Amino acid sequence: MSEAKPAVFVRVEGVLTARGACSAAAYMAANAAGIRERVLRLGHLAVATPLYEVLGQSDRVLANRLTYLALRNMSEDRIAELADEYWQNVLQRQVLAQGLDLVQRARRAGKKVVLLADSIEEIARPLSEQLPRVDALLCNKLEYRNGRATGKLCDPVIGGHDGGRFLSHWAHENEIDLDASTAYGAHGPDVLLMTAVGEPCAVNPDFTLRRAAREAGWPVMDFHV
Amino acid sequence: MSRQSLLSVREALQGRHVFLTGGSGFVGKVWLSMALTQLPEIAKIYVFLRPKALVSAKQRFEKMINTSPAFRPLHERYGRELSTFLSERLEIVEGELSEPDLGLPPALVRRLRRDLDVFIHCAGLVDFNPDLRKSLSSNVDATMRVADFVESCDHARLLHVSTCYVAVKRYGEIPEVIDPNYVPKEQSGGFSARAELADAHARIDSIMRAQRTEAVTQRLREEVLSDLHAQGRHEPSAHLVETLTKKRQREELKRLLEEEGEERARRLGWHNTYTYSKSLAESLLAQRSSRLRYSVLRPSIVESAIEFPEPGWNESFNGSAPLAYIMGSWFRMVPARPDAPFDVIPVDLVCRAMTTVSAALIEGRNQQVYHVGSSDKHRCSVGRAAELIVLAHRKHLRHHRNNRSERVIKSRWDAILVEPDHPLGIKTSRALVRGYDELVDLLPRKLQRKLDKVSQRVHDMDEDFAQIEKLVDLYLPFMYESFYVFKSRALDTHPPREPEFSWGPALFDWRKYWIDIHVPGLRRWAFPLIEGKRPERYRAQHKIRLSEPKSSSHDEPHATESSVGLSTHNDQA
Repeated sequence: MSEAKPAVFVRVEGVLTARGACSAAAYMAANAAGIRERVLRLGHLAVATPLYEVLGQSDRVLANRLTYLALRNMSEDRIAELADEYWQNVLQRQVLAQGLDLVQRARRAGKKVVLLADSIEEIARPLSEQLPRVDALLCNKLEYRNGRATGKLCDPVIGGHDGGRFLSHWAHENEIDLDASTAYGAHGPDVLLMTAVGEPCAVNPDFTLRRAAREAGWPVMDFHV
Repeated sequence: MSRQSLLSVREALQGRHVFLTGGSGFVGKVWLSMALTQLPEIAKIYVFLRPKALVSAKQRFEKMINTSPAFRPLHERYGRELSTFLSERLEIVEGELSEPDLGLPPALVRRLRRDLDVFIHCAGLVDFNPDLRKSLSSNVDATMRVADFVESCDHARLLHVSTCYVAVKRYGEIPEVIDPNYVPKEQSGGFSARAELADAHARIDSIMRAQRTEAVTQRLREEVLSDLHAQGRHEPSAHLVETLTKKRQREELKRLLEEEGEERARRLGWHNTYTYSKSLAESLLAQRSSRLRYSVLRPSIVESAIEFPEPGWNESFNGSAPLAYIMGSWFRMVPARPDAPFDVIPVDLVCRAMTTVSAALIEGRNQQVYHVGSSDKHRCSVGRAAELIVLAHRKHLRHHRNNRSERVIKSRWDAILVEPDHPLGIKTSRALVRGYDELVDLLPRKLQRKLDKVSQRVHDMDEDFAQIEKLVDLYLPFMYESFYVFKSRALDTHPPREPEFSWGPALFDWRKYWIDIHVPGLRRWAFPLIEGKRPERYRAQHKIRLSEPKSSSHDEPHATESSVGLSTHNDQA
């Protein structure tokens, strides 16, 4: 059996980009087919977004599920195209240089780079492809049936407390030495991930994570644009 | 799959002589270019072209090779040497398909009878509702002449290119078979393709006779005079009146024959005159003696190339071009049934299938009928195609338009599929325009003049709507009224050994095809045709020029032939 390697786990939303899952979902809703559909989907998000802010402090599974429900019945083709457009028009300009620097430093230190994203794969993939060699992208996946989104996220949903357990399992399978690994988290639900690694660091943390970091004595970095 | 079941296309076509009709059409051009580029094994390709009024077949061929993007790969590969290369591989043949022996000179006929291996009959009139006389002459009578000719050859086989849409069914699967007396709608007294053809010809003769009577000529002459008087020309010359009368007579005859074709096709159950005439030709082929060795290849809607001659190359505006065009306009409500299969197949895949079937014919491994479509194995529904067209327009408008209203509003102005009787459909839109006209008529003159600009825009819009309504009527049977799948399994019985001739529709991704290849291709080459503009043309750096006929019949040096040789002539464009 080969020796376990250290890795760096980076939360995409908050560490690498200044935009979250709601922004991408809103872009897609606003560009759905037909005015009626746009109104309905944006209406859905108008209700889901405040809930996201509240629920997202502790567990993002429900928040993510509610958000992506707004894409129910949208075609896979449209989601793929809009995701591409979103990357080019929005997300590309919202990439945080300091976050990229963290990834590059980890790379230079010979660590594996693992990105964790609440966003769906179509949104997170272009970003990961722009970064200097990402070893793994763990993100949410929309379920499709007959070429249309069902509005459900495939399990395991990234962003909740379960994510910590999922990551431990994933790290074990991929021979990652968690004790020698680093995690850059940004949200309350990242606490479990950060407690699992040897070098946790809170970046632009939300209220819950900031409090947890203070109590646990983890370093905190703020470089929001 | 066992190696024995694979068909080596290159081995089968090694040293063979192939005759091609329809080489100036969309599919024919691509096949010719592909064969010349990728199949050096073929010994000789005879390209049949009809001379046009003042242009010989030779001149037509030169122009086609020098200006069509379909031949760009050939120019790129051979450059200055192209003329030499073509002179070794090609023979341009001039004739008339509806005549015995295809109107070819006897010496050439003798040589072809001895040497010919495969006759690819790709020529045909593809307009949906043309003059019945022309349709029958091009699609039925010519096919029968070709069959006669192939039958008279020592060992030639016929590949007849038809269309999947000869078979009409509202629902279900359409098998790869020919019924010798096929008719979509059951006829009470039975149906005979031969009797139908004779009846159609008799009806054409009767219409033509009726149009040539003195009474009709007199009526038209009076109409012409009345029109000229209305234009203020009270004493027109007799010559002018006669010319205009003859012109009107021709136009009226054309209209009557178009109506006859359309009515006859619809009455028997076909969607249009094109599919009616193609089906008759197939039925009559199936009735011929077993001496004729043939296959019928039925492509579905032939569309832009995936890669050969270049991604997006298209010359057809009978396929999805009108739908894509409508969806790129400001008109949003397109009547269509989203779940119906939209059977589109790229032209280069069709040409690969043609090559494979030609090889199978030579090897005696051919099937009688081949469907070349996507609905069986790689289905794209009308709804998905529509969504991808919208997304393709969106991408184009967002990146390439300087006009802000197009970039910001039109790119988001998604067309949607609706029922034909949708309250905001095309009929309502036209009714609104008529209502506007009536309303304006009620206004005082002064106000009417103030509204002149608006009225002009409304009328421009109505012209667009009229064009859209015509296109919608033409395509509704394919987009809304039917739900059928063309079984495409015959080609699987002899898969080509060489992967470059695989035709499988699953070889490509629909999203990439529609957004990055097909719709951009339509925008370059088909939309200008719909708008009555000239699409971009290829300008060969080294133009080829054919020499006058030399004694090309090495076996019969004294014979006179109408085939022409080729000479090297390099010319900077």
